[in-house]
This record gives sequence, structure tokens and C-alpha cells, in this order.
Amino acid sequence: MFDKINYLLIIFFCLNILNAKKECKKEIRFNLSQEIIEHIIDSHDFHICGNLIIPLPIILWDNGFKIFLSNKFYNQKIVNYSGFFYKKYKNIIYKTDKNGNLYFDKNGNPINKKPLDLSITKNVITIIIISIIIICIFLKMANSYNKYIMSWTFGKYLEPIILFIINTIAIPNIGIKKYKEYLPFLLTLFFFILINNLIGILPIIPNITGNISITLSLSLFTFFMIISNKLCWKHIFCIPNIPLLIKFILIPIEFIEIFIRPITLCIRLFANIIAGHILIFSLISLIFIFKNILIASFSIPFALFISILEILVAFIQAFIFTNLSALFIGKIFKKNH
Amino acid sequence: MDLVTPSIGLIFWQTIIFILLFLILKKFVWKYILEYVEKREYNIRKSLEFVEKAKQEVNIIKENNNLLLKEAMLKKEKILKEALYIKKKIEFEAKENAKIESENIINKTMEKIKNDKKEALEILKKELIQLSIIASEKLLKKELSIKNTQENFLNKIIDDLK
Repeated sequence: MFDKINYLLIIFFCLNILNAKKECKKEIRFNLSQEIIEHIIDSHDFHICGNLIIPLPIILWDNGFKIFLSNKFYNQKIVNYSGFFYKKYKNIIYKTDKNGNLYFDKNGNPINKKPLDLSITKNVITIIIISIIIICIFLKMANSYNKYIMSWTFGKYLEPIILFIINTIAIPNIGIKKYKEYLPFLLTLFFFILINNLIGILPIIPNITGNISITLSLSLFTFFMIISNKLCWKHIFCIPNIPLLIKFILIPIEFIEIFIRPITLCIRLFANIIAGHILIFSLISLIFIFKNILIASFSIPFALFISILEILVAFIQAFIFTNLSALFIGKIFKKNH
Repeated sequence: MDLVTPSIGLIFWQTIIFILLFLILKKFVWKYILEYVEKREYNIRKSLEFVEKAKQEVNIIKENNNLLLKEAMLKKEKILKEALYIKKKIEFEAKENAKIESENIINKTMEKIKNDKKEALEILKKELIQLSIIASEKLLKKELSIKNTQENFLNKIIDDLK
């Protein structure tokens, strides 16, 4: 299996070099930071390679749903949707007047109204595809049990991971009494992050877990899992055997702690994944900066090394996120003995 | 700043998709997989316990066997000892008996031999006497047929008697 992944990586790198050559010939001024950020953040259309761009549906909420395809924005066009005018500026959709005038403040940011953007973006479509892949894999796995024995070869690789989550993450952190309640959540979380991390390493496919909205959403699930339990609040406000004065200090600390935990979870995953991607991208960009193909002999092995490191990081970060979620959930029960 | 600004649309979709994914996986996948895993664990634990029990039983049986073997060995030795003792006893008795009997037989035969000897001697004596009488008769008849000899003979006898 790993052989195939390596081959895929090499092929993608080769494609990247070819792309790089083309763009070098065009002699466009290369703005590295802008280019990297454009590749990493979410966008309204799926840029595959060269001129091949797949437009995705845009859904706006502005006194009613407004749905149209993103290719209407190409070449800085103004979209007229039954009397409402919209314009895209730096990846954000603004409401404008008939002529598409944008009004800027001192810092150069538009002060026009922004409609609520619920578009099916590049990341959303990838999440949907990956979710379907996960469902397919695990449905196949659940159906290929033959009297306690896994008959599917790929399932044999997945089963130890599931057992690892049960025995190393769920039971030690949450405790043997309560772990079954949270196990489906932890398993879903782990596999969602792991598969997204791994697929995110491949070029073309956006790195979903390197997007702060996604990690924030994931950590919010953990947050709601924690605060939905009454025991959590009980142990913040009713600390036994502690003087009143210290209580006044402790209660705010404990209260803030609950909100800080999901934020740290969110930023840890986001930063780790995005750092790897920026590193790979920077190394490959050296070719564009120096405009010399010989740099490839230096930057490609390094990028390959970082890519392999990324595979490791993918597993580690998925493990850490799940483990810390389990730890935070487990704290509710352990403190109330 | 684009990098660290969360967008509401993405959070919204991610939340919906993740909830759907979670519910689908929980209902159709994790339930079954965890059930199978648990069943298998239970099965393995049970069979291990069973093996342990079987081992203990085997050990008990082995110990019993050993005890039985030891007892049998002891019995065997005892029986052998007894048999040897009896054998010696029988041998000894047989020897004694044989001695006594042989002595008896010897005694009897000796007596018989003595008796037979006596009888034989008596018979011999009788026969000798008869033979001597016959011989003397014949001699006398012969001698007496001649006068001189008769006289001589008588003289001799008379001489002897003198």
C-alpha cells in the first residue's frame, strides 16, 4: 500500500515540476506568500491544474437564498441576481450597487455589506467526498465480518487502529464505565481527521484539516460533548473542601479553562497541518524564486522528506486530537469520584 | 489574516456533514464493529478460561495417575516380596521334607538290605549245609565203597576226635 502512495507522491511532484516550468516561461512576477495562501485557503472554485477550473455552486443568504455557479464571478464580473448585485474581492463576496463599486476604509478593506456566505466551496465538496469514502470503507468493513474474523484485507489494517483507539485512548482516559458512550464519537473523529490529513498531503486536493474553520468545528464538537454533561458544571461551581476566598479565584480559572481547551485543540491541529504544507510549498517554490530547474535537485528531495514526515504527522495529530478530546471528556468523570 | 479567520459557511457545512457522518457511522458501522469486537473478546476470554480449566483438570488427572502408579508400584513390590518369601519358605519346607523322606527311604532300604542280607545268608547257609551234606554223602558213599578208605576214614575221624 505504501509503495503505491510513494508512486503517487512522485507522480504528483513530477506534475508540479511541469507546471512550474510552464509558469516560469510566462515570467509572471512571483509573489510567494500570496501564492501559498491562495493555495492553502478555501476558494469558491476547484482549481485542478493549468486552466482546468471546476466552478462550484455559491449559496448566499440575503433575504432569501441566492444560488448560482461561481464561474459568474470570473474576470471580476458583477453578478446580478434578481436585482441584487454581488462582487468577489480577495475571495470574499460583497454586496455592491449596479456598477460594482467597492468602498474602502483606511486599511484598504472594503466596507460594503457582506451577505452570509454558505457556498459549497472547495473544502465543503472535499469533505463530502471524503465522508462518502469513509462511509463506504467502514460499511464494507462492518459487512465483511465472518464470525468474529475480518475477511477483508484492508479491514485487517483498520481493525488494529480501532482496537488501539478503544484500548489506548478511550478506556484509559474516560474509564471503563463510561467509554462506550463516547467511543463512536472518538472513532468518527479519529478517522475523519486521519483520512483528511492523509488525503490532504496529495497535491490538488485541499488540506481540509489545515483550515481553521474545520478544526474549530471539530473542537466545538468536543466542547459541546463536555458542556452538555451536568457533572462538568457541577465540578466548576461546587468544589468541596476549599475556602471561599480561593473559590473566587478558582471558579473563573476553571471556567476559562473549559473554553481554552477546544481553542488549543483547534489551533494545534490547524497549525501542525498547515505548517507542513507551507514548508512543502516553500521548498517547491524555490524553483520559481531562483528560476532555475537545478534547484529541483535540492528542493524535491527535501519536499519528499517533509511529505513523508507529513504522513507521520497525519497519524500523530489525529491521535493527539482524539486523545486530548478523550482526556477532556474523561476529566468530567474522574474529578467527581 | 485570511488564514486564521474562520468562515461561517465552512463551519456550518462542516458541522452538518460531520453530524451526518457521525450518525450514519454510529448507526450502521460502529455498532456492528464494536459488537463483533466485543463478541470476539468475550469468545477469546471464554476459550482461554476453558483452556485453563482443562489444564487444571489434566493436571489433576495426571496427579491421580501418578498416585495410582505409585500405589501400584508399592503393591507390586509388596506382592513380589511376599512371593519371594513364600517361595523361599516353600523351598525350605520342600528341602526339609525331601531330607526327611530321603532319610526315611534310606533307613527303610538299609533295614530291607539288612533283612535281605540275613535272609540271603540264611538261605545260603541252608543251601551250603544241604550242599555239604550232599557232598559228604557222595564222598562217604564213594569212600565207603572202598574198604581201606572206609577204615582210613574212620580212623581219621577217630583220630580227629582224639
